[in-house]
Amino acid sequence: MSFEYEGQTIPTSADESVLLSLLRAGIHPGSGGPLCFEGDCPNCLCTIDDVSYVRSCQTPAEVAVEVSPHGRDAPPLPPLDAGAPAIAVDYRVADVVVIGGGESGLQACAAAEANGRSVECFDASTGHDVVAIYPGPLVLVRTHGGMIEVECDEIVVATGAAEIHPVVPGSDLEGLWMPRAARKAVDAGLDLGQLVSVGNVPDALGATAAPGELVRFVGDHTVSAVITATADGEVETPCDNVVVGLGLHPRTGLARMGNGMNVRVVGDALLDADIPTCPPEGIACPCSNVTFEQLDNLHDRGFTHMELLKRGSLAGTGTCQGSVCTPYLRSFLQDRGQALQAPFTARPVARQLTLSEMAAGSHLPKLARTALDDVHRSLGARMDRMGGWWRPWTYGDTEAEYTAVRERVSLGDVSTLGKMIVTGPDAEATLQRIFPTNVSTIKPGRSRYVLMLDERGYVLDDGMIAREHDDTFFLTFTSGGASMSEMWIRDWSASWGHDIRILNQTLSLGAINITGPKAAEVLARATDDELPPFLGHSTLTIAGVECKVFRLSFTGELSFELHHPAADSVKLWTALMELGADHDIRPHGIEALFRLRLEKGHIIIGQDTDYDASPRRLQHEWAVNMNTGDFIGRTATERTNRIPLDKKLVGIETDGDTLVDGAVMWSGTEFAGTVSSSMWSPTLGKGVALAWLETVTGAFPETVRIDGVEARVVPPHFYDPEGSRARA
Amino acid sequence: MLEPLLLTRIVSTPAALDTADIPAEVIVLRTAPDEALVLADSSTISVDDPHAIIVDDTGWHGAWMSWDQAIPFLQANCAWELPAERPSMAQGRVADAPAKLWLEDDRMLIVVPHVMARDVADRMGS
Repeated sequence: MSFEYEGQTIPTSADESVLLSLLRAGIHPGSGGPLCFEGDCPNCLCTIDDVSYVRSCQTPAEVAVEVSPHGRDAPPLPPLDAGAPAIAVDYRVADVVVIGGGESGLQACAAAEANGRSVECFDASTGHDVVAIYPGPLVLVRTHGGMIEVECDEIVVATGAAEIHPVVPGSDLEGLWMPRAARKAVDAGLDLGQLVSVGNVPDALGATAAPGELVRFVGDHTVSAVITATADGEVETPCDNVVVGLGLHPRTGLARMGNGMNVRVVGDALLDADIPTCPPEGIACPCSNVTFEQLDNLHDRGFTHMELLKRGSLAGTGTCQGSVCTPYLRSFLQDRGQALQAPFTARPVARQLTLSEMAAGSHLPKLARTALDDVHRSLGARMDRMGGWWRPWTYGDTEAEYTAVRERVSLGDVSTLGKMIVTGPDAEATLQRIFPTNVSTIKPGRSRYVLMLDERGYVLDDGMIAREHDDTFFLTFTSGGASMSEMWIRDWSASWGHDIRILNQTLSLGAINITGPKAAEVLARATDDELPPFLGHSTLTIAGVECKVFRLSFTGELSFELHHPAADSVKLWTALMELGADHDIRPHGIEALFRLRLEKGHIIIGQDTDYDASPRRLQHEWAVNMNTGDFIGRTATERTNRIPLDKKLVGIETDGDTLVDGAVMWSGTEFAGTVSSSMWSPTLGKGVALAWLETVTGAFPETVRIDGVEARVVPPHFYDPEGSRARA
Repeated sequence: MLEPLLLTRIVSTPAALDTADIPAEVIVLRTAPDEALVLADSSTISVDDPHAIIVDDTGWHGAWMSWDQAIPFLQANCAWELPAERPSMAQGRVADAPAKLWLEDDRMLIVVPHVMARDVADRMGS
C-alpha cells in the first residue's frame, strides 16, 4: 500500500494517516509550523487527488493516490479537465446528533440511547467531519467521498479542546509539535531525536525541558534551538524537535454556529479557555498571514472588538477558521487594555468544501415535460425552458412554421396551459368576484377571455373561463401562472366561505392547438361531431380521443384547443398530423407562436406586463366590466381610472427594422418607454412591436426613436384587427 | 420502472371523502382534506356529494419498490422523514418532484406526475 508524493512512492499502512506516512518518510508536507494531528491547524494541508486544503492528519493513507505539498499560498487550481466526481448525499433523521466521539461524546450517546432517542454520532478522526450546522437543526457532515445531512431535534457538541499553538517568531519552522501530536508520533515509532519541551508538557514524552517562557524558535527551515526567557535572561536550548504546551482552548466553533438552536455543549468543549501570553511579535493568524503589527495598526484605528478585528484583518477567516488565532486575538485585545472578549461568530462552513461537495444533493430545478416531449425531440425541435416546462422553441424552420399557421394548418402543443375545474353551489359567485367580468352571462357551452387582478387592480394572469354546466366551470391560465392562480382562487373562496370544489388538471390533461385556415377541415375528418362556434366549447371524440374542444384563437387564425387525457396526447397528435398531411400540416414552436400572437396584439403575461400593469394601462379595459358586482381589484381600478394615464401598452411600427425586446424609446431627448415584444412581420412587411409608452411633457408621443430607428405609435392590433379570420 | 397509472381523482368535502364508497382493497392516497387519488377507475367509486369531482386521471406514473430498493433511493433523494406507521401515505419532494408515497410493510409505491416521470426515473437509475 502506497501513494505518490512529488514523484516519490510513499509506503503506508492501513491504519495511519497521510501525514504520519509522510513524516515516516522524512517529509513535512506543509511549509513548517507545529503539527497538531487533530485537524486544528493549517500546517499539514496537502493537495490530495486534485483536492486542495485537505488536512493530511485527518485523511487515511489508504484513500490517497497522489499527494502534493500545499505551501502557505493558495494552491494551484485543479486542471479544468479533472472531472469532478459526483458526490451523493445521505439524508438521515435522528433525535440527537453527537459531534465528537471522545469520552464525553460517547457518554452523551449512551445517555440519549438509554432514553430511547435515536442518535447519530460523528467524529472527524473516523472520517466524519461535521462541517456545518444550519437552522432546523440540520447537521452537514463530510465523509471521504460523500456528504451526510441529518435533521435532528438536539445537537450535542463534544468536540473537546484544541491545544494552543505557538505564534512567536520561528513558529513556521519544521520540527515543532503539539503535545498530543508528539505523543502520537512517538507511539508510531517516529524518532524525534533531541526533543525539547516548552511550557506544560507531559513528562512521559521524555523531552528535555527548556526553562522559562517561550520567546522564539531558531533554525534554517528546521528548528535547531528554542529561545526562552528566564529571570536571568534569554536561554538558548539546542534541539532537533520541540514540543510546546501552552494550554487548551475549547473547540466551540460548531457550538457557536448553532447559536439559538437546541445545542448542548459537553466535556472539554466546556472548559474555560487558557489565554496565552500575547507575544510582542509574530504571525497571529498563520492562515491569513496576519501579524501582531497589523493587529496593532487596526487597534489604533478603533478595531477594538473581536468581530471588528476579524473583519479588519481577515484573521480567523482562513482554513482553520480561528482555531489557531482566536486565543491570540483574545489575548491581544486583553493585552491592549480591553476586557476579555468572547470568540467571534461562527458561520457555516467550518472546513473548505469542494464545489462537488457544496453541490451535493442539488439538482437543476426540474422542468415538466408534456406528454409530447418525445415527439417534439424526434421532430428535431430545439427545446427551451419556459414557465417551468420544456417547450419546443422551433422545429428548425420558424418561417415555415409561421407560414403553415397563416396559410394552411398547424399543430401546437399547449399542454402547459393551466387547467382547472371549479364547481359547486358557489362556483359562479366565487368566479364573479375573482374575475372582473360578469360570469353570470356566460352560458353553458360558451367561454370568455378574462383577466385576473390583484387587490391593487394590477394584472396577475389571464386565461379563459368556460361554463360547462350551471355550476361547473373550466378555467385556463398561462403556463407559468397555473399554481398561483389555483392558490389565489382557493384562498379567496375560503375567505368568502364559499362552497366550491377545485381540481387543478394542469398536469393531467394534454392540450393541442390546431390552428390555421384549414384547421376546421382537418378536424372534421377526425370526428363526426359538430365543431363548436367561436368562443364555444363542447366535449367531442376526436380521432378516438375524448376531448374538451375550445374554439378560440391566440394565433389570429381559426383555432381549436383540444384538451384531453395526457396519456392520449401522442395518439391524438399523430392522428391529426396524418389527417392534415395533404395540407402539408406541420407543428409550430413557441418562436413562431410568439410572432403570430404579436401580430395579433395578444399580450403575454410577464413579457408584456409589469408589476403595475392595470387593464387600463394595457388598453384591456374592454375585459373589465365595472357594471358587475364586486371583484378583486375593483376599488383600485375605480381609483386609478380617475388618475391621468401615465403609460400604456401600444403598438409600434417601423418600416425596415426589427427592434430589440427591451429597447429604450426616446421622444427627442426624453425617455418615452421600452419595447416589450418585437418582430419582423413577413405578412405585413414591417417591423411590429408592443411597447410601454410613457407620457412626455404630459402627452403620449406619436412617434419615437428606438436605437436610432424612427417608429410610429399605433394601435396594438397589427393583423386582422376585426378578428374575421379567427371567427371564420 | 415507473409505469403509467390509471387513477381516479376525487375532490369533495372532507366529510364526504371520509365516507366515500371505495372498494376496501383499493389504495387511497388522501392528498388533501378535500382531495384523494384512488388507485382504481372511477366506475368503482361513489361519494355522497352531488358536487364532487370524480375523474379518471392518466397524468401519473408510479412504481412499486421493495424496501431494499427504496431505502437507498430515499436516502439519496428524500430529505424528509417518512412516517413510521404502515400502511400509510406520505407526500413531499422526492428527487425534486412532488411525490406521493404509499408505504407498506414490505414495499413502497411512489407516484409522481407524468410530466416529471422521466427525470425521476433517471434518479432511480432505471
